[in-house]
Amino acid sequence: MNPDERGEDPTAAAARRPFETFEHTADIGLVARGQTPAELFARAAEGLVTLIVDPDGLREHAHERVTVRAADRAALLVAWLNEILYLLDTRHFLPRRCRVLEIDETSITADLEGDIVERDRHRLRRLVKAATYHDLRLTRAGDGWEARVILDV
Amino acid sequence: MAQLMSVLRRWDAYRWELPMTYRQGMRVPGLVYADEALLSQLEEDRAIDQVANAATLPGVVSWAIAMPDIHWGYGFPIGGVAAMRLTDGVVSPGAVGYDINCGVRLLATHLGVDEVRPHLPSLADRLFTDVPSGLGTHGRLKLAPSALEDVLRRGAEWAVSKGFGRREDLSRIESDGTIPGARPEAVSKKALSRGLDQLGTLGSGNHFLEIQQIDEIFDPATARVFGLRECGQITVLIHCGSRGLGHQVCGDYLAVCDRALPRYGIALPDRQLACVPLASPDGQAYLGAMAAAANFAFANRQVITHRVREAFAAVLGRADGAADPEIVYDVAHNMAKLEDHVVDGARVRLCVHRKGATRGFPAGHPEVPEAYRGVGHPVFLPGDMGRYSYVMVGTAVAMADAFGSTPHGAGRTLSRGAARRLLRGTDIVDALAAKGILVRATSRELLAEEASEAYKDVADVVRVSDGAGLTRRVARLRPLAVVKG
Repeated sequence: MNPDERGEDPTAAAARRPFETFEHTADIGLVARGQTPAELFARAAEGLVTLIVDPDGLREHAHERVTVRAADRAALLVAWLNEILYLLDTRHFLPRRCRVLEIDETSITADLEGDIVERDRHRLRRLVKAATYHDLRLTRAGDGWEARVILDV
Repeated sequence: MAQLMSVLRRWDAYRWELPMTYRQGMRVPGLVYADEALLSQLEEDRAIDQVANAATLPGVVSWAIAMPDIHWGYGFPIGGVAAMRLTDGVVSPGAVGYDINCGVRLLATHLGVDEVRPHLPSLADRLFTDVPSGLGTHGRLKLAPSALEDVLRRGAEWAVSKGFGRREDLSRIESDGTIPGARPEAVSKKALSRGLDQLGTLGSGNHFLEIQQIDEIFDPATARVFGLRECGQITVLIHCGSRGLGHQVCGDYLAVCDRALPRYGIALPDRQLACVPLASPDGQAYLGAMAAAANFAFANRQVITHRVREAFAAVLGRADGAADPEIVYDVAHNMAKLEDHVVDGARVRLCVHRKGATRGFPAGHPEVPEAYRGVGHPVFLPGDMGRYSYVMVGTAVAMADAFGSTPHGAGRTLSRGAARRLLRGTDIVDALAAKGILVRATSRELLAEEASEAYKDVADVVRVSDGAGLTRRVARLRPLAVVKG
């Protein structure tokens, strides 16, 4: 089930949710939240993966370490999500869990534990082509961080 | 409605001007092709703002254009056209889109619906296997890096040289299936690695492969030239693009352009519109990489065509060639192309960005294949999987007013979430089966997002496009079997 379909009270639920989706005519918007940038990035990745497959079917038996760099923190989020799509295309890998080892304004290094996606073994939802810069926002929200990114489907 | 109507200046029933006063920084006005009904559907999204944003790009000529199927995209609107001067204009990867040379190819057989209907389940099964779609799949072709470089330089011609099709196929593809000036060396290693096993695959989202029948012919003379002879004739429509390779090229160059903006003194209303001067080394590198990705897409649709031919031959087992589909045409709808156009009475070379818009060159144009030069080349408007698609032809009006551009499809009216909510509890496969349409798909969620209810009626787009004189309708096609991601 997608996070926007749980039918919870929107205001109370929003603060609890690590990520949720919002409406865009052609594509899908993703909002992610975290206490720290590291948590924010991990949750955004979790949100992206959840849009692509049912994450409950993903085991943690494959491993990838990635380092991504970009011009600023918001662009870093786009590059990070696109790196996950790159791993999906080239190694058919999707992470179930992301452990951020290092992160600053322009680079992130993380260990990804996950699974090799197979049509017969996983419940597939939809392919995401890319994370975009359109209406991209990454800001401090309360005592944490929040990001909004639109995904091209 | 009232709000947009007060912003736009009505020229006639189908054309509206978005004045330069709408937003600071607009260098040209916007030209919106819509009637009141389509305009009312735009009230809720931000597509018109995106037309205004496109009009701020340096070197933009005449107007930023919204096709009748325009909807809210990322950066540039989907259904958007903007042409830039080569001297002081820019090229914008975001105004081409992630799926470089996403496009549509129509094949026509010599078979009638009655001959094919009993074989539809077998055909659909075979195509679902042989043209992989969705996730966790890869094509049957595994390319060596040197072969991939060849694909990027030669496009569909590479595929034909390897036995995926025939020489005569090439003249039925936009630009003969090869965009000149491709620079594989300007394509990143990451992009290349995404392309190695994706040739011959459909992808996901709104991509599809449909077996159809002609259900109405509006212009029999033109239809005959296109090889569309009679109602009930079986056709195959393929919609896909450059896959992960193209997505990576777009992402790579968006980052390049994003960093380069201050160097070129360009300020933008949306970061996704990041662009660089056409005349700059960055601009030339993008054009070379984009051409390479576009060639990958042409080769992809060519390999898929070969798989379709194999499937028809195997399943129908006809020796007389009737089951062998011929290419009607193949058109791109996400591309920036260097073309000659007349602006203020002078012929100039421009870089025409079409994102979710199709080139529709008219009769007599030298870039129209010889076989079609008397009528103009075909343009395809896929509708949705529950209704119909149209074959159209471009006109001199489109050439004069819209840089030879025409619409590309129905355009969404519901977001993906709204479509899922609306159709919760509905079995889309059963609902389509009740209409006589067979579906093979990997994801039921995606099917709901792509259902008819999520799309405008493409007939509305056709009405406006024809009404404005951009196109002339030729034939309508109805789906019989749909293969999707």
